[in-house]
Amino acid sequence: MERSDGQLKWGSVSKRINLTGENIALKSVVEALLLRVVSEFKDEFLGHAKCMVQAESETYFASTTGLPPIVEWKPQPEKRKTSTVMIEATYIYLQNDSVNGLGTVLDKVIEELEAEYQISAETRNH
Amino acid sequence: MELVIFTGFLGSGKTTIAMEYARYLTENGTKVAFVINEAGEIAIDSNMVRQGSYTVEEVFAGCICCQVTGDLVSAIKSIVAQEQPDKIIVEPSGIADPKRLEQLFEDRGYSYFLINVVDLARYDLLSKAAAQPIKNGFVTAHVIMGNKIDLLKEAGEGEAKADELLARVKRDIQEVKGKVPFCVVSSQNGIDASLWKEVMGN
Repeated sequence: MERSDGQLKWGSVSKRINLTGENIALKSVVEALLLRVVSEFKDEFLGHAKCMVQAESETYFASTTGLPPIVEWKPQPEKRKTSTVMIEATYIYLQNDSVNGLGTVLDKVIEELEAEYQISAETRNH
Repeated sequence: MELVIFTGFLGSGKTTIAMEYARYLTENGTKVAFVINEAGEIAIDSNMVRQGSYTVEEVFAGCICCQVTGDLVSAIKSIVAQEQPDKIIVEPSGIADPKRLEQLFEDRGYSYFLINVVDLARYDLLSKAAAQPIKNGFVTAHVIMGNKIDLLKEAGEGEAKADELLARVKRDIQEVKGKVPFCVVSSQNGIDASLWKEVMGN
């Protein structure tokens, strides 16, 4: 979705990602998902990446903050591993030519995470 | 019934600060409800606020200052009818233009108070790349809150850099707005009741 109002041009990419696997390192996977996409665009990314995470009936919220960005959690997830995780992630950004490819970068990062963490990701666009 | 509107760029910490304010109000016996607008297609912030047991009307997949203005008005009507709150906290999306919002609330004859949240940790970057919305946030604000002072002090040259940046932010505010209450907070570390009392006057 995109809009131009003459002063600001912005877009957003939203995805629902279902992860399955044995002993998914919840915190690491989610932080990598948010930060890798943002860092790909360096200073070009002026927006905000955030997500809602559901794992074993617990709900967590994670979002990027600061410069360079870090991930802030509410609440902080316990250091446990889990087998199914549902992530609803949104990246909102100011539009420019490089950030136009954010959806593709997000897909690439999800593929990387599948290989690195030996998990299976099923994604759906919003 | 008053609207308290938290403006501020994407990721400035509006939701966390708004929840802190709601907690302060609730502890003092004020009935609060939220109207939250998200530009994205997933209502993440409103789900977070609901976890704090607040009533939320959500407007998402568009911006309330221009695209889904009618939805905002309906959401306010609906929450007033359902909850009869003393105050409604409105959180526009981080890409909303505060000037358009101000015009919208004026045109509708709402009683409102605008708090502008500034991301101190990214101020240098955003004040250049998104100069106009940042300025419009200053111009329309009744109170300005500089947030993430903790991150600013931790980064780079720490205290000295933070002091230098704060002086610059104050100068920028002065240039476009003149005199307006300005306070520095770390929403992650909580906001003291005395500060709310000071800035909101109640």
